[in-house]
This record gives sequence, C-alpha cells and structure tokens, in this order.
Amino acid sequence: MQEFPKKVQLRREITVIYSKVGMADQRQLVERIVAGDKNSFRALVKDYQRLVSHIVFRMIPPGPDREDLCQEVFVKVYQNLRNFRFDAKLSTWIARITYNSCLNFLDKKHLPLYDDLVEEDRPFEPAAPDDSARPDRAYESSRTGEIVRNEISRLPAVYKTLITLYHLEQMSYTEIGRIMNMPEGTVKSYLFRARKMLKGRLQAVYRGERS
Amino acid sequence: MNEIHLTDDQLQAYLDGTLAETDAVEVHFASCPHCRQALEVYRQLYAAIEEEAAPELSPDFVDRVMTRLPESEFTADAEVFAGGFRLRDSLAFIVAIMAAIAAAVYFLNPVTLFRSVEDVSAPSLADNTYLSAFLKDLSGLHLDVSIVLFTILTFLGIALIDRILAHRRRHRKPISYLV
Repeated sequence: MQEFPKKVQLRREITVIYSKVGMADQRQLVERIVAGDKNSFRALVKDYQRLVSHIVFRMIPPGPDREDLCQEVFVKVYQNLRNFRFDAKLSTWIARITYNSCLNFLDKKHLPLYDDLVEEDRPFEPAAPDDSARPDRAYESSRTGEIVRNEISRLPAVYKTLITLYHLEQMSYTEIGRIMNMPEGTVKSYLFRARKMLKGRLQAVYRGERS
Repeated sequence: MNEIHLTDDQLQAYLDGTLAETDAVEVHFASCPHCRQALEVYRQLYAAIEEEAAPELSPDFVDRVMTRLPESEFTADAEVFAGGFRLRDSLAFIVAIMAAIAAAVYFLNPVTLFRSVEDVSAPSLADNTYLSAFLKDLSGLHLDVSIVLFTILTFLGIALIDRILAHRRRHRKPISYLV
C-alpha cells in the first residue's frame, strides 16, 4: 500500500529532474529553430504533438476542427518562438498556447467550457450499458479502462483537461495552474472533484451491473 | 479512528503524494477495510486513466504543419540571433547616410565650416609625406579631403553602432512569456 503513492511522487520528481537537465537541450533546439533550421522544428512538432493533441482532443468536440486546430497551434508556436525566454519549460509554454487556442475556438463557436461543473448534482446515467457484464469480476482492468474512458469523455472540458495534464502529461499542480491560468489550489480542488466524479460513476456502473 | 473514514480528498492526496500525515493514514489503512477498499478503487481509477492511449493524428500531420509555416519567419532574426553582422541592412543604412551627407554638402556647403574648424584645431595633414601624395591624388579627383575622411569615419561609426545594436538585440530582456 505504501508503494503506489511513493511511485507516483518519484515519477514526478524524476520528470522534474529530467526537465531541468533537458532545458539546455531545449535551448539549443529553440536556437536552431530561430536560426532558420526547419528540421529542428519538425523534431519539435514530433516531440510535442502528443501534448497538443491531448489538450485539443479533450477540450474540442469530435470533428475535423481538432486536427486543424492542432496544426494552427504549431504554426503559432513557430511564429512566437522568438519570444520564448526559457522562464518556464517549453512544454508548459506550448501547452499554454494550445489551451488559449482552444479557449478562443470554443468562444468563437459559442461552446461552453465551464458548463456542468456541478454535474455531480445530476442523476447519474451509465454511459454504456454492457450486456457482457460480469459482476464476479467487477474490477477487471480492461473493463474499468473502458468505463473510465467513456466517463471521462462526458466530463466538463475543464475537468477533462486537468485529468489529461496531470495523469497523461505528468504535470504538477503548479504547471497546470500556469497553463490554465488557475491558482494551484483551484487546480487541486477541480482535479479532486473530477476524480471523485469518475470514481462515483465507476462504482455506480458496477452496482448497476450487479443489480 | 476505525469509525472515522478518510475522505475522498485525503485518499487522492495520499495517492498524489501530497498528504502530510501519511504515517497516521497508513496506520489507519491497516485497521480499516472500508478505507482500504476505497483506496483500491482510486488506485484502479488512476491506473485506468493513465493507460489511455494518445489521440491519433493523421500520418502526414507533421508534413502538413510544415507546409503551413510562413516562409521566411526567422531569416532576419537568424542573422541577429547568431550574433552576425547584418550586412545588407547596414549597407543600406550607410548608403542613406552618405547620400544625406552628400546632399548636405551640395546644398549647405559645410566645407567652409569644416575647413575653418580644421584651421583652428587640427594640424595640417599635408605635412606627412605619404599622406601628401595621397591627398594630391585625391585633390586631383576634385574631392575635399575633409569630406572624404568625414565620410569614412561616418561609415566606421555606423558600422560600429549597428554591431552594438545587433548584439544588444540578441541579448534583450524578454518581452512576454505567454502568447
């Protein structure tokens, strides 16, 4: 029981250490790109396309706009790289551009961002009733994964983004706060609330399967 | 303690490694099956979230990004960023200054003023043997020596100023962090 939290904290500490070591490499990469080396920018796109796509695909509804927006983000990164002064990690800077681009897109399309933040007050309806439910193996990991993915997709965009940045991109509360322009306490509070909602829904699905 | 269970926030903080009183919590886990079960649910939730695959982009995504890039975004900056001397821009500036000086000479005739200053303060340049020959050649070209020297000094001064400005531009303070 002691292993899991220590493993999580150790992974984040390793990420921080690696980031500090990688800053020199990042600086060289940025300098090469600003000097006109497009192959270096191609490498940057490959390195950070996962981060950008994670945020865009969480915040923007499904459709062709998502990939187009991902491309626009990298064009903005290219155009503004000369202004980056390494006062934060390159990933944080790119994530912030991505997040702001998504906000602008949602605003342009009049789509909500903070809608349904009190969704836990709504009566819960399971996302995907499953005819092959096996109550005796309620916590089978693949089944859990499927349910979690479905339920994450139903969360408000802010919660989805927080979960993505924390769990999939291994970012700290501080970094997430910088990206989403939120106090660290709010990041933690929203993240806890999002996971509590997911946990409740996960348990409700299995209770529904058993009944 | 067994009748008081950990909250969801405490369970998550424990898993995130941000809970201060971990020792007391672990003692509680040892004697509370309810909280152990709740913790296990969160552990599986975390694991399920972190197993999710990254979104799939088109195979030619990177190529399409590269085709959308503006052509010469960093050409001028590249020369400055590398600490180089921007010859093209400097030459244009120098030619402009020399044209301005030539126009001033033509319309305002500062030669007389310059010569009067020279008479008062500077020793005669014709005293030097090698220089006198050079000056004789120049005078054959109907050029005033002081104007030629003044122009050369202007050229060097502009080049020096441009180099200083290029160096300062490369090391300027950040304008903004966030776009």
